[in-house]
Amino acid sequence: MSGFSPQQIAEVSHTIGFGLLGLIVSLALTPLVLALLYHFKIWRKNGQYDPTLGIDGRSSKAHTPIMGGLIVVLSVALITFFFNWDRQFTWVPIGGMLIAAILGAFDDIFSVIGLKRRDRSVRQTLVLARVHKNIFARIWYALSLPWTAFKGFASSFGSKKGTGVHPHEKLLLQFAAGAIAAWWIYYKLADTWKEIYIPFHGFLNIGAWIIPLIIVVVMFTANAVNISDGMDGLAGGMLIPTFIALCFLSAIFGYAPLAILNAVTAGALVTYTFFNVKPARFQMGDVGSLALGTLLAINALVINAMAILPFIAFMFYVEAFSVVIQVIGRVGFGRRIFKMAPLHHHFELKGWSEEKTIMRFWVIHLAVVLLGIWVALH
Amino acid sequence: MNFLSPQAQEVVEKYLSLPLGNGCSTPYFNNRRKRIRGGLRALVGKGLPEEIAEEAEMFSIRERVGIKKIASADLKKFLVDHNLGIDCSGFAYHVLDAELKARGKRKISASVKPWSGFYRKIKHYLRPAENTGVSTFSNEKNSVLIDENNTIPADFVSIISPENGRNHMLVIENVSKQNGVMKFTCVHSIAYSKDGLYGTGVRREELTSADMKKKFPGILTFRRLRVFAS
Repeated sequence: MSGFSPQQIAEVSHTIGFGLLGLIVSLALTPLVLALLYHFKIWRKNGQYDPTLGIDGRSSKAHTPIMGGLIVVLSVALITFFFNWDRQFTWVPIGGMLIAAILGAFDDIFSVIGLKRRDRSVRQTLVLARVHKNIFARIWYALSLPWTAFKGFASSFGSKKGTGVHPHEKLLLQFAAGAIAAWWIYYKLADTWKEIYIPFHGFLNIGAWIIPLIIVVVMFTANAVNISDGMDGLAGGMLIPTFIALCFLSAIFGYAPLAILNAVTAGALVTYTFFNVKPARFQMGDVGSLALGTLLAINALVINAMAILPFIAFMFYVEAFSVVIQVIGRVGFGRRIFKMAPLHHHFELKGWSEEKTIMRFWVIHLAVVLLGIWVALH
Repeated sequence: MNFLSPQAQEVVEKYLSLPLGNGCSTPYFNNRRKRIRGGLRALVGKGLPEEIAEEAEMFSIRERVGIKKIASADLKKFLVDHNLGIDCSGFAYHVLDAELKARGKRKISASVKPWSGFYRKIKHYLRPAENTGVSTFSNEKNSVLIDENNTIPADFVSIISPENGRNHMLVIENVSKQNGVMKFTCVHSIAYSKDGLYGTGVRREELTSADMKKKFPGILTFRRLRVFAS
């Protein structure tokens, strides 16, 4: 048995050390962040719309802070900035994560303090463009029709429109985060990034098509993590093995800065999940779920593991596809495919307890992540 | 054959007493006024009893209402307040579909189709129940005109009102002759003005053709699905 060389052991130890640092820093930040959230009353309000509240065993989440994901985002950003600031590998993942975090933070804050916003339908806009007494208003309504149609289209995929950032705005900002990642990967990194590694096959060059593909992958993954964050401990518990797998693959493929970044994220997530399991001390909020989803996608893309994402983000994608399937069933066929989407609520309505649903999702996710690591090594 | 098949009867009974809590008859709901687009068929007046019950349950979960324990009258009020119900053609669609299946015929989406228009056909292919109205049932390509005296169960009465566009249809459940007058036991979903807001819905009525003409203004015809006629 050859074993690891002393240098390799030192590298592994170094990476694990950063994981532990992430855990400790996030632990130190937790009381500070919690105090801030309580001080500014960034919590779920009484009577806030929650379609799952009537499910047996569910209790009200009123007065539970909703921006707990800040603990992970801040820990990762701070540690990376001070100890792992690498122009080639960590600037853009952290940049993408922070853009998504800012978007998520606006959503979380507006959902607490914002007022209900008015949305005009395409039909209403068409009528106004025809009958408004002011000619300039009529022209404005006519010109804004495509934007109104886009809003309507985006909202059909979103949940109930509340006081936060609306789905069409989220999509645009996520597009921006994805575009930055695509620009960086395509133009700033070497030519090998224009190819996708397909396990058991080799590299596949798709040229400039990689740009829209990266944008789609980043947007979809960010939303998938966001969608999965619907139960205490669910998203956090599933993100830990995902980032550990990414850390492992980054180390094996020779991306030390990214291995450290993923280790720090996994460490911070351990702290987060400790406080997020039922009954949660805080919830991740969009600030955490969108940021971590973006980070996950970019980190996977940078180590050329796009084809592995369906494995290492398995349950997130399953949850996201359950929403897509539900929308197709509703709009296309007028039928409800699942009792409720995302999938975890379907099982809850089938009679599974919240704990059973979460733990089964964790176990299934872990199994498929292991499969993903095996596939990635071929 | 004097009655509808047991399978079709079961569908009728479920509409008359929804499989939910203490049960109640399914209210009448027509999407013409609400104009919900791209919605679940249970929310546009075209769902099966199970689908309507499931949607009611979903509303009750969102609003934390113990729907399974409330009285029938309250349940019906809950359904009406949430726009849950069935319209006449939606009801006929599912009852006749069960009848077709019981007799080993093609399902109703293949037997009753729009007669023209590519877009209409696509819409019907995706959402058959929502795109099958009284006029579709009554079209010569889908059903044939029959004499009142030759009526049998699973035939239907179609009332087309070109003046106000308020069409209606009743499914014939049983036929009898008393003192030389044909009496039809019909099942249908209807909102009579005397019913008020919460009294509408699926009901079973024994009517003569004279009663029907009095109750439903318009062109009244007795029809049989072509698939049964052949």
